[in-house]
Amino acid sequence: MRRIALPLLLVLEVAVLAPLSGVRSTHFLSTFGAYANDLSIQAAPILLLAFGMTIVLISGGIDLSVASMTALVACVLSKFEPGPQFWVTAIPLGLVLGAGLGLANGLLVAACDVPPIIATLGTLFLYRGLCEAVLKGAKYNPFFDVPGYSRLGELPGALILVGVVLIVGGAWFRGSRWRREILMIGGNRVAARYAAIPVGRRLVEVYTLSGVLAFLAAVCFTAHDGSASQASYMGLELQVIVAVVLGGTAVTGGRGTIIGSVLGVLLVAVLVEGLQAGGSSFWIQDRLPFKFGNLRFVLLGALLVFGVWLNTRRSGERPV
Amino acid sequence: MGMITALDPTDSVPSSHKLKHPPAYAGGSPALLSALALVLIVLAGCSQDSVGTASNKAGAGKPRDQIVIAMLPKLTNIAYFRACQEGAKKAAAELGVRLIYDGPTDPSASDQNKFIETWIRQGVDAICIAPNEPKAIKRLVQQAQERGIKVLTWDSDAPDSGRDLMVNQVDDKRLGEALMDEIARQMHEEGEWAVVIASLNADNLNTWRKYAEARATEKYPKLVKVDTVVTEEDVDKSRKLVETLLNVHPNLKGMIAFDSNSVPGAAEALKRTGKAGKVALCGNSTPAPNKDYLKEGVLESFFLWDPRQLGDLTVRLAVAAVEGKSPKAGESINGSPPLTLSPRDPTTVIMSPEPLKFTKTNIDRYDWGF
Repeated sequence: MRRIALPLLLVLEVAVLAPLSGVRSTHFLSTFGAYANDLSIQAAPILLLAFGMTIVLISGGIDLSVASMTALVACVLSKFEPGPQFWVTAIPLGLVLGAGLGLANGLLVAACDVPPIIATLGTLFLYRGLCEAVLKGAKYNPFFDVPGYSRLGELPGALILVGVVLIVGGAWFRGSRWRREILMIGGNRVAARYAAIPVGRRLVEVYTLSGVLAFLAAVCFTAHDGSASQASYMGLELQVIVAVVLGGTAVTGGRGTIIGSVLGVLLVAVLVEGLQAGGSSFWIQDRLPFKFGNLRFVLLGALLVFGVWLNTRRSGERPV
Repeated sequence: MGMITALDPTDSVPSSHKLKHPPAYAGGSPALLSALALVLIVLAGCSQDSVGTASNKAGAGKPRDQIVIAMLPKLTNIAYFRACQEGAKKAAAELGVRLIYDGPTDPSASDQNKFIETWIRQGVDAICIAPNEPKAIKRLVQQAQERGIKVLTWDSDAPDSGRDLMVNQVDDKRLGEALMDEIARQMHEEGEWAVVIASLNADNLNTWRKYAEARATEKYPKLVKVDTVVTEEDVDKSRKLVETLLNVHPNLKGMIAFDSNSVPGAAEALKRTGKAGKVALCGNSTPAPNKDYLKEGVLESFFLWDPRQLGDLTVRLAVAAVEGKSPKAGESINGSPPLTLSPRDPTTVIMSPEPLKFTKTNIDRYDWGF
């Protein structure tokens, strides 16, 4: 029963919300195909971020700055000149930048002993503020003028990117010793230290990975939207955390799977898309006194609490 | 007890240490199956890319109360676009069509795209966009048109996107020139001037800016542009940035502020730094926030048009597009006043060929409430 709970919930969600987004029984295949298309493109960057967030949560930490890192990388990318040289100038720099931002988080947590929630809360604001500085005197966004780049924002390009990261990365992750060390760090850090696991180094690696994935997510976003601004992707970290927690990763650390996070991302993506569509539905608007789309944060918050509760119950453990 | 959990059942951990209730996703088959199902669905979606839904192609014969017009402003919560919404609602009520007027709360192109994608899927009849970034909507315009949805731009254009029609509130060249002529007159045709603008991407603002700059090069060679300030549709930001601008350029003699929030912000900055009357200011903005500045002499004049009329005209033209009627110069359509087409682009309708000029003497006549 527990194993099918989440997939079942996803099917239910889609069944209820898809009609709001235009899926009809008359042209079912084409309307559902369009729905799945758009949903996959929207979910792609979130899947990337969720991969990193899962590992961060498993390690017993949290990364609140993912949305800000993504925005900052996107803003920096938008300052480059358009053209094929974008691939060799901007992309490597973006990768290094993402890794650097993540590294900064990791160093704060590991070397300076700042609790992850505080460290990443601080960088959430710091990186977001840097976006504004970076964008000063910005010229035109280059993204649509770079050959081949917007393929990464559509299917199948985006899915291939995400698929490679998740499948190759996920497969490596599952079989690796690294994963077990992270699990142990999240489960009992003192014991991990006694087990000769290089805790500090692992933590730095985990947060740096989160930064690299933020860079990849920024690529997905900018390839699709063609622009980046200081206010881009606000509130995205909430979506990612809700998704990962819903998927079975414990916020206390020591537990979590990538596949669970994928399911969680889909659950949240369907919900967010359904809320967006519901806001334009006359049937709903005529019956509710407030703007339907504003329910988004309320529901995401409720989902987060529900997800944590569900996971505590499902594990069968009683917290000590 | 520690929470070391064995997610991999093949780990060599003594059974007494294993938890009695392992968590649900040890890569279990239901999870894998659903992932597989999703991949298949998405692949199905890929191949169905350009199938239009039949309902939209029958636009010409549809009864009015089933026609849905979706209208997307640059952002929803500034006075200018709220005024447009008023006009749009009125026209929709008069014509008997259904109107969705919605948009992001920040001038963000990526947020705008989310609305457009949803409306395409929902199969609305027409989408009217005021794009924050003209290049960002091209792909969506094509997608919408493939499904039989009419696409209009209003307030700001996306010239290369293939949109069916543009509803422009003014003749761009006339407005740019009017702004420059006004500021040049106030500056006695010489001195340093600066541009205050919401964004360097929005097509409408930058087209006016380019015409103004071209006018300066052509007629006022003694005017020198020294700086450009980007305010992102925010009054406070405009004020702070202009205060800095005035400090950096002590010899500045004039500014043109190209959008409704930049003008009052710049005016306030002039007031606070005591430079009102010494630095000329002109631009286009709504009456209410600038009325006091006009009366106090911080501002001599500014331009606009009636945004309610813009919203109104956009809806009428959208309905006409859905019903297969094309706009003709000098004729009215769906109850609009007689139309003017742009001399430079036959797919652009111009609402007011001459912009409306507000001064101390006539401002009281325009108590529009915004």
